[in-house]
Amino acid sequence: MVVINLSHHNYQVLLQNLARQLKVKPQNNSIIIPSEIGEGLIKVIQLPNGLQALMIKIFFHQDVQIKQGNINEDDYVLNFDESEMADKKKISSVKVINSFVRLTGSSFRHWEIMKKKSSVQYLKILFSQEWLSGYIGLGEKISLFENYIPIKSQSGEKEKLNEDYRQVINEMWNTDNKEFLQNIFYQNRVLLLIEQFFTRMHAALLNPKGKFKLTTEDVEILKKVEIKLNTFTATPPNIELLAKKYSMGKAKLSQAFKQVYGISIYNYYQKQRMQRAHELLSAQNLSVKEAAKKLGYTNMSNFILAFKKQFNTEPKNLVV
Amino acid sequence: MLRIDYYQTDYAKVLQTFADVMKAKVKDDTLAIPQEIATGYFKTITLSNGLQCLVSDYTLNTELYLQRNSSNDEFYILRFDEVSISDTLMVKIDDDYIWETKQDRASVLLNSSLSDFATSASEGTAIRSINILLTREWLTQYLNIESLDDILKKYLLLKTRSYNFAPFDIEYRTWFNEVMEDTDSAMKNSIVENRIMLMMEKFLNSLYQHFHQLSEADIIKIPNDEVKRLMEVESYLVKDFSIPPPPLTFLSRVAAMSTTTLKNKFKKLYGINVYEYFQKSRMQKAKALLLSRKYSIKEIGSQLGYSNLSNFATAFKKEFNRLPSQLVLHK
Repeated sequence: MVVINLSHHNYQVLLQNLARQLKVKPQNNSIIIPSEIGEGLIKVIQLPNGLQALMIKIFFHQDVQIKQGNINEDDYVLNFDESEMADKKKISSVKVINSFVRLTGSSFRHWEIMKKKSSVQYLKILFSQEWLSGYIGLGEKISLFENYIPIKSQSGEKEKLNEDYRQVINEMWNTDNKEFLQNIFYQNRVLLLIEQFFTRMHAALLNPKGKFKLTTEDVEILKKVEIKLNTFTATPPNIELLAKKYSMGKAKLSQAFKQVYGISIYNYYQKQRMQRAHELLSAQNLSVKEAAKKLGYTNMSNFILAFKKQFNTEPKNLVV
Repeated sequence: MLRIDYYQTDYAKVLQTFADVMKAKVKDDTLAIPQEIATGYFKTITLSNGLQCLVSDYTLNTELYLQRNSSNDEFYILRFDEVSISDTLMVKIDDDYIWETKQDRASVLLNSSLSDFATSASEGTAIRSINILLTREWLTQYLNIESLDDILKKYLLLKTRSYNFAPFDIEYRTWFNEVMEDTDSAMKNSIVENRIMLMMEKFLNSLYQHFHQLSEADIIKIPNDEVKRLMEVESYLVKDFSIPPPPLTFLSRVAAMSTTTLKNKFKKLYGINVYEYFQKSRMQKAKALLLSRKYSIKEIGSQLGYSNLSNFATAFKKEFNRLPSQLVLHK
């Protein structure tokens, strides 16, 4: 299977690597996908202050595995995803359509198998923590906001794309701008998307949906809990023990966690568990049975179901 | 009367010159104008891509004469001005003068450092302005200067002959207001930066369209004095949304043309008809107020002249495809 690896801390280099892999020549910072793989293009936009954006639009003619993640410690990626997954198992016309934006940090890993006739449409914006600090560096409640951003980026929480985002992204894909304005045009759109994202995130922080007004100390505790969840264990987390350990009420802990990370403690654990499963199967060549056992599953069909839920494919498809 | 002469190669220096003449101090890139001269400020903003801007918002307490002397360094200044003239405003480019009396206007003007540029405004005049300094180095770095140079030159030739101030439309006005608005938002800097860039992009793009894609015949041919009067009509339309828009009969008096001519020429200049313009601007205002999160939907509705909230919601949805409540709620 063709693997398209989008994990990189420099999109210019990534483009060169992909061009070599796909045996095509980059032109004007973009490459056209060879037709045996699919139809579409990958384009890199270089912005001032070291910001980079990657635009990808491909309709696949064969199954392709896409890898995302693995960036520098101090970098972030803002991902806009409008992909359509063709699912062979279901009736042919059924498609799973993505429409979300999420901020991810260096701990984020994602593998995905895009079936033939699926299409991906990504816009990824790569920037450093340093740039971000300068960007949001003025204004109120910064320390809380600055704490909040790394947390959000670890949870991989998805925010639905609204009309404002969509309009800007569509403009970027459908530009007929003359050469001389091209740079400014892309630059302005990318910065608008960043502005919209952080404006909404900031508003959400100041007016949380949940019932807890969080203090900086609360956020610190949640961060510790989250780090703990990242060190994998085969047994699911016990909320009561966690609450005791970090001196926070059980109800507050589980609700505040969900409020900040967008998903419950258990689901968070489960997601990590499945990413781990993926790694065991694809990178370490374990059998499905061995992997399930390692992850604390006694019932194989539960494991298969959970895996399918996250990756849209059965674990056995990953075993080489 | 206060007169200031300056050269414009660096806005920090310009601001310092202003401060010296006014016997005031620059603090945090801002010059608070002494009360006997004006109520308001000048400030410089440097965008992260290196562009320098001079932003000002003041009401004059004396007559102010600003004279920018020509320089041999060639660069361009793109200015967005919203003025409410108490008595007279004089604009002088090289040896050409233009006089305006007792009117409001909001306009875009590009000029070159190769010419002298002066303005003189009467006591009581209110001015809000964003000036962007476009150096040749910057233009070369971010734009394909060969093709742009040609266009800018053509435009400037046109300008010095006719002072063809391009009017603000809804987009310019929305962005302009977002820059001038005094908020404590954590995102303030990036909003200011992004709006200034969008205004510049829009201007350069429209220049390009005018001089490259359209033929001579397509270029809107409305005499300058008419453009000026239509700009005044436009400023009446956006002045106060809490009351119904002024009737066409009134506007046609302002424009000094028949209602039919007014309707046609307004549409030609702004692209939409007079009351569509009013409504679109009203909804943009609604959106800005909603996003400020300072007022309830009900308060905004009544500020914008809607006594019936569901009418407001329907009108809003028509414009933005979303209800006001959907904009406010964070989902």
